[in-house]
Amino acid sequence: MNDFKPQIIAFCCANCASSAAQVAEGMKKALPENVKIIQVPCTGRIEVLHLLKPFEEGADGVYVAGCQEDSCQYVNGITKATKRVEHVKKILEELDIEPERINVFNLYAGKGQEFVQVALDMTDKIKELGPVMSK
Amino acid sequence: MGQDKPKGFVMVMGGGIAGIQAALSLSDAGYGVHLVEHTDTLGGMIPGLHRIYPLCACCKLDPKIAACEQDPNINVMLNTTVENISGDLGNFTVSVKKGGNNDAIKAGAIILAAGIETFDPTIFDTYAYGRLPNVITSVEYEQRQKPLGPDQGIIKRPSDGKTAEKIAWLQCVGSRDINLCDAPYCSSVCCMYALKEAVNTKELNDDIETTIFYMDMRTNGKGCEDYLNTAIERDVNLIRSRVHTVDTVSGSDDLEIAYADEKGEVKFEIFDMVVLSVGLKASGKAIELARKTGIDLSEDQFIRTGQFRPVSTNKPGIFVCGGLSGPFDIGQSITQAAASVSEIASCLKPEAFSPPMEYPKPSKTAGKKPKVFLAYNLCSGMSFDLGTEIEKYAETLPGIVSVSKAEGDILGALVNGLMESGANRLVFASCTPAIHKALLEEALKLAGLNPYLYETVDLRVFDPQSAHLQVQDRLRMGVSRANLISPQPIRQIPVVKSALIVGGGVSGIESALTISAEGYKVTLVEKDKKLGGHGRHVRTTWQGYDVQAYLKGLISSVKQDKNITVMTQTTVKENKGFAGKFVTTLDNKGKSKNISHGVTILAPGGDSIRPTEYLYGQNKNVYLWSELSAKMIDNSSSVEKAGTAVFIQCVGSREPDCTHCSNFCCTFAVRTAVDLKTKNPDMNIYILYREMRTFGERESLYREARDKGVIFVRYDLDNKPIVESLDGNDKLKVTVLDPILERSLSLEADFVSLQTAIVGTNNQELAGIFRVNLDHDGFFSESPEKLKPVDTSIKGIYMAGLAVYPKDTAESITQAKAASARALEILSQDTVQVGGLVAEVMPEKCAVCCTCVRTCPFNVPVIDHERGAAFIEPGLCQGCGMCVAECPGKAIIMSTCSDQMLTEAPSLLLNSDY
Repeated sequence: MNDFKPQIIAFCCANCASSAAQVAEGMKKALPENVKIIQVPCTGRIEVLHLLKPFEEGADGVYVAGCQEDSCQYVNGITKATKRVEHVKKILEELDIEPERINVFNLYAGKGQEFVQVALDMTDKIKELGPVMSK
Repeated sequence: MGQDKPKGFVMVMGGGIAGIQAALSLSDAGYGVHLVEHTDTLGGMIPGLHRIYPLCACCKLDPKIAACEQDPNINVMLNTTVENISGDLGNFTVSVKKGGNNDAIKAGAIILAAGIETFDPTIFDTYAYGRLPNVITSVEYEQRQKPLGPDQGIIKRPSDGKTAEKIAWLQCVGSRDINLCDAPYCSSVCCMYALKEAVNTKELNDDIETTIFYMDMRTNGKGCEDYLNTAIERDVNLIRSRVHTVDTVSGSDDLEIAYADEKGEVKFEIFDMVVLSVGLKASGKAIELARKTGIDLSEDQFIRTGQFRPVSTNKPGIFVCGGLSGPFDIGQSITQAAASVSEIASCLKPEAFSPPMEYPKPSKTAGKKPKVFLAYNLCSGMSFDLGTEIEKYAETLPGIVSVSKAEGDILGALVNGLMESGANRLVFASCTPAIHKALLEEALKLAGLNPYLYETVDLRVFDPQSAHLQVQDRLRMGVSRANLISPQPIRQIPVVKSALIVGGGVSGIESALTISAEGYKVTLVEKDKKLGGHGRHVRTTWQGYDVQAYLKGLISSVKQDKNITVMTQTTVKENKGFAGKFVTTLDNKGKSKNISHGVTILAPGGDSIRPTEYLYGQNKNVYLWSELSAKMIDNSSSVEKAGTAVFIQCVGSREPDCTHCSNFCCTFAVRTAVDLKTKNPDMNIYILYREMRTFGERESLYREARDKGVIFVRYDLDNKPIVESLDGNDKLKVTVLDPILERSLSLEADFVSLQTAIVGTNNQELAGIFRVNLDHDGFFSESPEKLKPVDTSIKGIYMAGLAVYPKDTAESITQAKAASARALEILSQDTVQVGGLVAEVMPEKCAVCCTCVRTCPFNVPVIDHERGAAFIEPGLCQGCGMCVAECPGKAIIMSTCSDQMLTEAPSLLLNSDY
C-alpha cells in the first residue's frame, strides 16, 4: 500500500490559483509529480463530465482549485464549481466510489503555500482510500 | 479646442500602484512616459501588504508591472530620484539622479505619485517600540502575515518565536495627535487595515484573540461598514479607548496594556504582541521637492490641491495623485491617477517615444494544419537542465515545427520564431503565465496571426525529484491544447466617437466637460427639469469652498458647450451594444429617441432618505440635512439666530435595513456647526453621533468645532435619542443618554437636523438596463477584475458620483475625471477588437431555454427572436465559459477552452506514452 502513488487531476483557475502558485514557487514549495494540472479560464467553465472523465481515465482523485468565493473575477465561477463538485460526489457515491475522491479548494495568493498543501493533503487522503474501485 | 496645447512626454514620479496606473493610461492615450521610482522595483506599498481590502487583488499587480516593463512607450527608471523640477507646462526639465549620475529629462507635464511613508513610532516612549521586541508596527505585522514573510504566515512573536495567541492593535499611532507627532489629521486607512489584519489573523486561526483599541471606528468607505460587521461577527474585540502605555510583565515577554474603559475605569489586559497602527504621511523627499519647486502644501504637509480641482497643484502642468495629496486608500489613489491623466489630456498633446505598432493583416489559419512554435524562458534560479529537457521532449510532440529559447528581447524572439518557422500556434513555457498573456497576443499579432492561438506552460512549483516528468506532462498538455485551438473570428469595429452620460449632477457635468474638451460629442441626460443633482443641496465643501458658485459655473459651461447636448426630463429606456458601439433608447416626456455612442458614464446620483422617526414631517423644525442646507443657502440668518441646534447622525444609516455608512454626514454636521458657531457664538450646538468619522484632514474641523464649544454626545443603537414636540409650539425636546455621565441629557432645541442615509437614486433600474452589477448596498459595483475603481462590470461603461457610494464633492469630481479618462481611452481608438476569447452560440443546437441568460454573471446572452436562438455579443463576453458549462444542449462553444481539450486532458496527463 505504501508504494501506491495516487494519480490526481487538479482543475485550476488561471487567476487565484495561478497567483497562489506564484507564492508557492517563491516559498520553494514543490507540487508532487502525481498531481497534474488542467488550467481553465474560470472554474465555472468545468462541467460534471469533465470532473468524471479523469476517473474513467484512471485517476484516483480529482480536485478543483479556484478563487475565494468573494474574489472571483467572474463573480460566481467558484460558487458554480463548488455546486458541481457536490453533485459529482453524489454521482460517485452511486457508482460506489468514495465521494472524498473529489474536492474543491478556495485558494489565494495570501495563502499561496496552500497551492501545494492541498495537493499534498489530497494525495494523503487518496493514499488512505487506496486505488479507485480497489475495494 | 485645444489647438494651442503644447506637445510632450510625461514624467510620472513614483512607481507604486498610482504611478503604474497613470503610466499605463498615459501610454494608451499616446504619451511617452518616464516612470521614475527610487527603489529597485515597481509596485510601491502593495507587495508589502497581506491581501488588499476589499478583495484579494494580488494577482493583478504583477501583470500591470510587467505591462509597464514591456511597453515601448514607458521608460521605467528604477533606483532613480528626482532632484529638481524647473520650467513650465509643456517644457519642464526634471533633474534626476541614478547612482552617482545626473541626468536632465524633458517632460511636458508631471504627475507626482511618490506616495506615503508610515509614521515612525519610536518617539512614543510609552509604547516602547524598538525597546520591546513584541511591539511592532502594522507594516511589520503585514509582512509577518505574508506566506513569504519570515514566519511563513504563522504569527510568531519576535522575542521568543512563541505563536501569538492574543494580539492587540493600538489605533491612531501618529494620527490625530498634535502633541508628540505633529500629525493632527486622521490617516483614514488605519481602521480598515487593522480590521483586515485582525480578520485575516482569525482566518489563519480562529482561536487567536484579537483586540483593537480605537477612538472612533472610521469605516466610511465603500463596503467598509460591512467589513466592520464581518469583523464583529468573527469576534474581533473592539475597545473604545486610547491606550497610554504598553508595559512589560515581569518574568515573561508578555505585554500589559492599561486602558480606561468608556466609564473611565482603569483596566489591565495582557497580550502576546502589540501592533501599532501607524499613520500615514506624505513621502518626505517628495514634499521637500515640492517645497523647492514652489508647490503649495497643506497645513498637514500634504500637497495642496485646487478648489474643485482635486488632482491639480498650484503649478499648471503638475498634478498629484495618491498619498502625497492626503491619506487615501488604494482605490482612491488609482482613481486620482486616472483623473490626473484626464487633466494632462486637457493641457498637453501626446508625444510618443515610438509610433503605434503596425500589424500585418492576419493571415487565415482556419482549416490549416496546426504548426506549433514552442518558446521557453527560464527565470534566474531555474536549472539549465530544464531547458535541455524542454528542447529534447518538445521535439517529440505532435504538431511541433520549432523549439527555441526566448531571452532578452522576448517579443522580438517570439515574432521571429513564428515567422521563420511558419508556425500558426504558439506555446510559451515560463514562470507566471498570467503576466505574459499581453506579450504573447502582441507577438501573434505582429506575426500576422490571430492573437489567441497560444497556450502557456507553467514552469513553477516543480518537485526537484521528478521535474523532468512534470515538465513533460505540462508540455504535452500545452502543445496538445495549442493543436486544438480553432481560431475564432476577430472583427475590428469602428468606434462611435461620442459619449452618453447619465445624470446631470456634479459628476455628470464634470465628465461631460472633460470628454467634450477632447473634441468628442456628449449627450448628457438628466431626469429632472434642472441640472445640478444633489449638488444643489450642498452649501460648501469641508474646506468651506462655495459649492453653489462652482455649480453655477459648471452649469453655464455645459450649456455653452457646443459638443454637449443636454437633455433634461429624459430617462433611459434601453441599452444595447458593447464598448465602442452602444445604442441607447432615451425617453423625453414620452418621445423616444435612439442615440449611438462609444462609451457610457453612469452618474445618476443619490438622495438622502426620508426618515419616519424623530418627528420628521410632523414638526416643521425637524429638517433633513439637505433641507437645512437649502435654508442656509437661501437665507442663512434665519438659521443662525437659533438658540439651540441639535444634529442627529446616522439616521437610517448603519442599521440592519441600510447597513452602509454615508461617509460625509459627520463632516457635514461639523462643518455646519463650525459655520453657525462662527456667526453666532452664543448658539448651543449638540451633535449626537455614533462614531465621529471626520476622516483625513477633515479632523481639523472636528478639533475646531470642539474648540468653538460644539458639544458632541455619543449614542448607541440601543439608546437612540428621543425627539418630542414641546406642548403648544414648534420647539423641540431631545433626550439622549450620555454614556460618559451615564445619565439622560434633555435638550430644548429650536431645530433638529437629521443626517439621513444617502442611497442611489435609481441604481436598480439603471443596473438592469445597462446590465451592470450592484453591490450589497445597492450602489454600482466595481469591476470584479479589481483595481479598476471607476469601471463597472461591463467594459465601456464607467461610473462616478453618489451612485457608486456616498462621497463629497471633491471625490465626485475626481471620480468623474477618472471615469472620463477611462472613457477617452476607448474614444481615442479608431476601432475596437471584438471576439477572440469568447463563447459562441450555435443557433441550430439552441433550444432557447434561457439557461445561459440566467447563468452569465455579466448578463450578456440575450434571446434573438429573429434567429430563434440565444446570442452572445462577442464585444461583451468576458470569456469565463460558465454558459458553455451550463448549456444543457451543448449549444455554446469556446474554442480556447473547448470540451475536447478538457475531456482529452486527463488521458493525456495520465498516460505519458499518449
